[in-house]
Amino acid sequence: MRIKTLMRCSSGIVEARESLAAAAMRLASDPGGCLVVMDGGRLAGVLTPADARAAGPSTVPCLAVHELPAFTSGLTVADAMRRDPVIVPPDATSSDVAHALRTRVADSVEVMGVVTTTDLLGSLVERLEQETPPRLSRLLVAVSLAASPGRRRSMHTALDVALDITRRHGAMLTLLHVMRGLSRRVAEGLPAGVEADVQRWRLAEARAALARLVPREDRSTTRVDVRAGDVVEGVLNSAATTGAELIVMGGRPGAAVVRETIRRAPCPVLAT
Amino acid sequence: MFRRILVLLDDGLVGRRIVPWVRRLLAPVGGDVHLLVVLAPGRTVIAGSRTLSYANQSEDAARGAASLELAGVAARLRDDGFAVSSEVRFGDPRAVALDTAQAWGAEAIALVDVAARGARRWLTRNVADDIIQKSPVPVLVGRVSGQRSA
Repeated sequence: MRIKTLMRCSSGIVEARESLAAAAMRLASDPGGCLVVMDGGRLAGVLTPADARAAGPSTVPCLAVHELPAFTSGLTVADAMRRDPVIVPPDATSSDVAHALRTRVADSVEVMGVVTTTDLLGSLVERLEQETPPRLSRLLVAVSLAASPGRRRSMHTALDVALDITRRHGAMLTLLHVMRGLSRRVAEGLPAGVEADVQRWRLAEARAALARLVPREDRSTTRVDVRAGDVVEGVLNSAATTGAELIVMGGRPGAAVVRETIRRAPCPVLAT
Repeated sequence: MFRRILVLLDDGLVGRRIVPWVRRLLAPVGGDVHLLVVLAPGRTVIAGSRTLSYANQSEDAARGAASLELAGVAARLRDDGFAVSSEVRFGDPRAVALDTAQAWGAEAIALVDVAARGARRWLTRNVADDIIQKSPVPVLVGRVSGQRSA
């Protein structure tokens, strides 16, 4: 990529002898901005918001109160600017600029635009994303086997959406159900040693129920996962174990489980 | 599978994190993407007895800057073969996003959840939460950080 397509206009040009406070005010409206500093018609340096902040009063309040405003109000742009900016021609590639930033080679004099390391990183991210295989390969759909009609409808919507995406992407789908533990009253009513058997039976029943939900043509690309415990933890653990790239969940409207999963998920969540 | 996705963006770089996921989700089928930026309504700035700028002037300036940002995102999606449209609107992002989704016929909405932290989380309603709750179509939600990239 040529740098002339990546560069942006600088936020403006300032003279090196101008007040730093005035220059900082100009930069305040453009946090990603960069001022080109001229001195007697020659390029002298650049000034970024970080440079202006570094030269200003301390950011630590207890220190800032001891720094008299008079000390910093007398500063000029020349005191804070970054000298000897790297200069490249507009036809340089982004790789040339990256090399120049490392070796600090300067060339040319006419200022046409500004490219910062942030711009270069943005370009790198875009290139890496273009190279990523576009299709999804692993999905996770979390369903509830609860009996209420609303939940059942929500579960089928999530499952249908997940199966559809899985087919189109040629992906693997993990069908997950997280069971809550036995209530204390039920657990206390069970004879000693039986609780583990009951739990195993519940897991087996849930696994069979999930397997029945999967259409015959999708069984080779779908695996069933049943866990016990906290629902959000179960979903997050399963997503981490399977390396899921997308989690599909039902349970709207406003289910706390969906909200919490979104806040902690390692990948995007599709709430159906 | 849905082929028309409304992507809700902000005026910065944060919302863009969801775009690669939309690209990836739609990759096998292609589709239409509508990029929507919702900004806070402009305000008239008055100093003393002088009006420095009118609301429509500040909205025009904000619209211009956001359109410039959108053009780059749209161009890259078009390069990938998607039909892309974009618009900048002003108002409450929840209401505007849901209205636009309905009017445009979106089959899904994609956005980034910018969750507030601490006390602010309890004081302010989260845009993503409200859209998930009220949207009649599936909502794809990504996070700002701590999440794998597409």
